[in-house]
Formats: sequence, structure tokens, C-alpha cells
Amino acid sequence: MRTLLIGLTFAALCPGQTMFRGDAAHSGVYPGAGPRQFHGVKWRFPTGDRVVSSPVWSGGVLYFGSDDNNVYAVDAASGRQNWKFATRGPVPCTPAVAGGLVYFVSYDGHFYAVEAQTGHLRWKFTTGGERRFEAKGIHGMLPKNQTIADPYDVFLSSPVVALGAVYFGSGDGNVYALDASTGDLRWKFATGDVVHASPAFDSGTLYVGSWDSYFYALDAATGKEKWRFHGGEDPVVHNQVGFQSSPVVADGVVYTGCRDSNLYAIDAATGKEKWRFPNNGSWVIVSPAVTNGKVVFATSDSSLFHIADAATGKPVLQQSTTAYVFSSPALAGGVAYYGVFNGTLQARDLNDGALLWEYQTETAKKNPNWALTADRKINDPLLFHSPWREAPIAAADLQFSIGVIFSSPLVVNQVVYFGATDGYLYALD
Amino acid sequence: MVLVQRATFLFAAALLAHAAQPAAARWDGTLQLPGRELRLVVDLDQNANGQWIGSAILPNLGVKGAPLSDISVSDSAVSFIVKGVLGDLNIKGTLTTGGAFTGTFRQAGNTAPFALQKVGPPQVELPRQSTTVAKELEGDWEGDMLAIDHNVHVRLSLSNQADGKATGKLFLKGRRDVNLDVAMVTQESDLLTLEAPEASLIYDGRFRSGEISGTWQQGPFEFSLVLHRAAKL
Repeated sequence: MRTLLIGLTFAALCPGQTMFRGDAAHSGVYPGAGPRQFHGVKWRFPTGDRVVSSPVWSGGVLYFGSDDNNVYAVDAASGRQNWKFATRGPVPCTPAVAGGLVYFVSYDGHFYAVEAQTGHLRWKFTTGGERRFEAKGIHGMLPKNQTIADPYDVFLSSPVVALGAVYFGSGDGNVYALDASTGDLRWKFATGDVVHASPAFDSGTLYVGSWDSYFYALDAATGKEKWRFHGGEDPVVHNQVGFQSSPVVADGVVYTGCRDSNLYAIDAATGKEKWRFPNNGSWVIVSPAVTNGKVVFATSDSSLFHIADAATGKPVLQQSTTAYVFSSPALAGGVAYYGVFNGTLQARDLNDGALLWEYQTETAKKNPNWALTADRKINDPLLFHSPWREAPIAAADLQFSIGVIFSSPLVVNQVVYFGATDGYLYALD
Repeated sequence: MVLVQRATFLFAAALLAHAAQPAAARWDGTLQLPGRELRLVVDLDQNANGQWIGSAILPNLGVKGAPLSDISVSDSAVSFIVKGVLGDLNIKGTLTTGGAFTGTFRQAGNTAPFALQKVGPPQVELPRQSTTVAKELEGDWEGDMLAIDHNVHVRLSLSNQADGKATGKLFLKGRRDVNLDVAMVTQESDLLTLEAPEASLIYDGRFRSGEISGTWQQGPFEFSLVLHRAAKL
């Protein structure tokens, strides 16, 4: 009971930092300011494998998952480990902290609730099992009749907590609602394919996209479908299909990226498209952030940082990010922070898009396997020399070896926290 | 008799000059990237005109017989470019008396060392070349193909050049207009093949009854395409 009270107290004091993108609506906007200048690496915490997960903050403690199968609780001030909890599979999702419990899903096919103070298991729930999005000849890989798992399906669905329930998507194609206290199943909703986006919650409705090409609005209490929105299809190479991006809800509008290369603005009440921002074949994997009537997002292949007008979708500004961006931008004090595929964290002024500072990890600077060109772009000719069999998968692994930042940064008290595929959680100030 | 002696002398001198070129050999070794090594086999030789020619093999990267360009051999200094491989691989090094060829290579702006050893005589793989096409194939052709969900109109121009090799140009009208030079045009019997590696494109079609009927392969995509004599533009 004491644990529960402490958890609730800190959650009340520090809203917007306890789940993916800060809050249940995934605003991506953090209270207070972040560093406008880079001073240094405050600390870095090593894990045994990639850190794709984004950290969350509650009561001075950071919680995040690692592909080394563990979820960690780390003291935010010192970077020292409080506890770790072992699952039987990688944890590339962002935990949610509520009511003194830490919630997360693992590739082992279980959803866990552990005590935030101790890391002791409170309950776990068995899903239908995790898997990556897969398709025949995906992204032009060969042979084209071979079903291949998508190496860029890097995230698991991050849970959101609301109305006493915890909601998440699964590789088994379902969206689940569990009782947050007991782990009992309240309802599940079947989509047609993998759900690795994180649901957003607003005003009793849950919003989430699936790799089946549909975006859904579900009644959070019952799981009943309110509406569905159809994104693009790609029946041949399955490259331009699926909602990997997690949505944000702001002022009655749902904003979501899509692999069909559009950023969509959808009326939250009706499911009608308000506008779309096309990106010429480039995926929008990031979860957009919305602030002051502007939508902030970035793209993969075109490697662009965008700000668009939230009401009309008209472009306001764009800047080159040098390499692909899967890391959702975090906004704090007029600055956008996001990670890049080349192992760089970038900080941009939201007024003019100017690069305020960037930090490249030591691993990325060493450029192992020459995954990067000298000007820090992805070295496609060297990595992707063959579309056959496992070559593109191996290429993606080499790409990730430089310390890609998939993690969405967390900004608290002038410190930026994020994970990288070099296995570290970083704290920059 | 004097003429025969002189000719014999010149021939012997040419042989000696060739034998004296330490760069002419098969070289086998590694490119030493940070974190991994890539095997490289290079064949360097001089053709009948004394010009340097060469080809490269990168067994780990699916490259066999890639032509070398910009070859420079000056005493022990040797440099060349493996053109079109890994976005152009620049190699610059020095030959040593012990049969080694070492130096640095550059790819995508990154630089690292390489070390090769002489392992035998050169086996340069000469690049494939376009052939002449039959007279009845010369000129303009056109056809339509269904590319997944939209129509693409294809116009092909073929012509034989003075050197006996055919050239081809493609104009595609679909969602956008694309002009494409065909890098390789070959005809064997009734089979016409067009290759444009920059677009990952291969078209092979059979010429029968006044039309070319074949398959357009571009990356993972494959579409049927029948070309007919084009109407005058």
C-alpha cells in the first residue's frame, strides 16, 4: 500500500513522463525545458544488448527495456541500477508506470506488471505470442516467394494506462485491455496483422494502427470498434503498408504516421481524413508530436525533419536529418529532441528548425563495419549489396551495430535520456 | 634476314617488358574495414596495345569480374577504381619486392588499409559488350505493360553503331516520364536482351512475327511486355 501511495504521489507531481511519449495521448511534449546547449554526457548505463525502448521517469527513477531480455530501474541522478527484472525475450517496448507498477511486454509472449520499487513480479499475462511483421518478398528481398520477417519492425507495442486498465497491441494481431491491478483480461480486439504501435487514449477512446493497413478507434471500456481508417496497401513488396507509427491525439484530431509514406490527420470522432502529408515513398515511423498548432515529425528514407500546420497539414519547414529517423521527437522548452539512425541525437529549435546541437555516440563515431559514409549517411552500397536470402537481414544488423537511436528521448530537469542499439542508456545535459 | 632478326628482337623485347611489369598478376588479399575484413582478388594486365586492363572479385559481396578503370602503374605505385562496385572503390598502393601490394582504399569517403599478395598470373575478365542487332530490329518499338496497378507505355529505340555494337534508348510514360539509356544490348538468335543496371532492369524478349514478346524485370517486379513497331512520332 505504501508503494502504491508513493507511486501515485510522484505520478501526480510529475505528469507526462510515465509512459511512451509522456502521457496517455502520446503528446510527446514534456514539462520544463531541456538543454539548448550540449554540455556533456552525464552518465551512460550499459546493458547486454540493444536498447530500442524509450525510458520513462517516475519518482527520480528511469524504467526501460533492453533486448538483453531485462527491464531496468536506474537512478536518474547517478545512473546506478536499482533493480533489473528478467523476462525470456527482448523488451523493445517502452514501459508504463502507474499505481506503483511497471507494465511492459516482452518478445517471450508475456505482458508483465512488476513493482516499481522492488522489481518484483505482481502478475503476468500470456498473449498469443509475439512475432515480427512478415511477408513474401518484403521490401524487394529475394526470393520473392519466401516469407521473410521485417528487420525494421523494431518495436513492440508500448502499454498505455487509463480507466484502471492497461492497453497494448501484440504480434498476435490483438489489442488487449487488462485490469491494471490484477492482469485479468477485460477485452481483446482482433485486427488482421501485427500491432506493434502503441495505443493512444483520449476521452474514453483508444486509437491504434495495425499492420493490416487499418487504423482503429476502439471504445476503451468495451473494445467495441467505433471506426476504422484505411491506409495504403502494397500487395507486391509490402513496403508501403502498415501503421508502425504510434498516434498522438490533440484537440479532437488523431495524427499518425504510416508506412504508406503519409502522415495522416484524422477526425477523432468520425474517422474521416482531415488531411495527409505525403512523403514520396518515405516511411513515417515516428510518433508525431503536437504543440502550439504545429505537428512535428520526421521521415525514414528522405531523412527529413518536418513541421506542418496542425489544422491544414501545410508544410511550415523542413530540415535534413542526414539519416533515417525512427525515433519520435520529444518537445521541451521550444526544442525538439530525436535520435537518428547514424547514432546521433539532434536538438532543433522549433521556431526555425535550426540545429542547436547534436551528439554522436562513441560507438557511432568509430563507425564499425563502415555502416556509415564519411558524411554520416547510411552506407547503402556497402551494406545492401544483395537482395538475396539473409543478406538484407545481415545488412540491417550491421546498420544497427553502429548504435542506432530508435528510442524516443525523455526530457526531465534539463537532462535528455535515450537508449541506443550499442546497448547503452544515455543521459545528456 | 635482317628484318626477321629485328622483328624477333622487338618481339623478345616486348615479352621482356611484359615480364618485367610486376603489377601484371593476380592479387589476393583483404580490405581491412573496422570490424570486418572483405576479401579482394584483383587481376591486372596489359593488353596488346600496352594499356592496363583489370578486373576485380569480391567474394563476400557477390562481385565477379568487375572492370577496373583509371588504372595507373608508375614504377611501384599502382592505383585504380573498381567502377560501380560499392559506389566506386578507390585503391591506391605500392608494390614491394616480396610480391606484396599494400596501401589504402576509399569507399563512401571512408579510408582503410588493404593488403594483397601476388598469387599467380593475371586472369582478367573482359567486360561483356553489346552485339549487333538484326536489321529488322533496328528502329523504334512501343508497347504497354501493366505495372502492378497502372499502365506504363514503353518506347524503345535500337540502332547499330559503326563499331558493330547496338545501342538502345528507353522512354517510359507512366506515373512519371523516365528516359533511360540501355547499357547492354545483345541479340542471340531471336532473343533480344536489354540491360540497364542503374535501374536494376533486364528485358528479354523473343522477336517473332514482327513483334518482340518478353518479360520486363526490375528489382523484384516482373511484367509482361510485347513491343510492336512504333508509329511515327
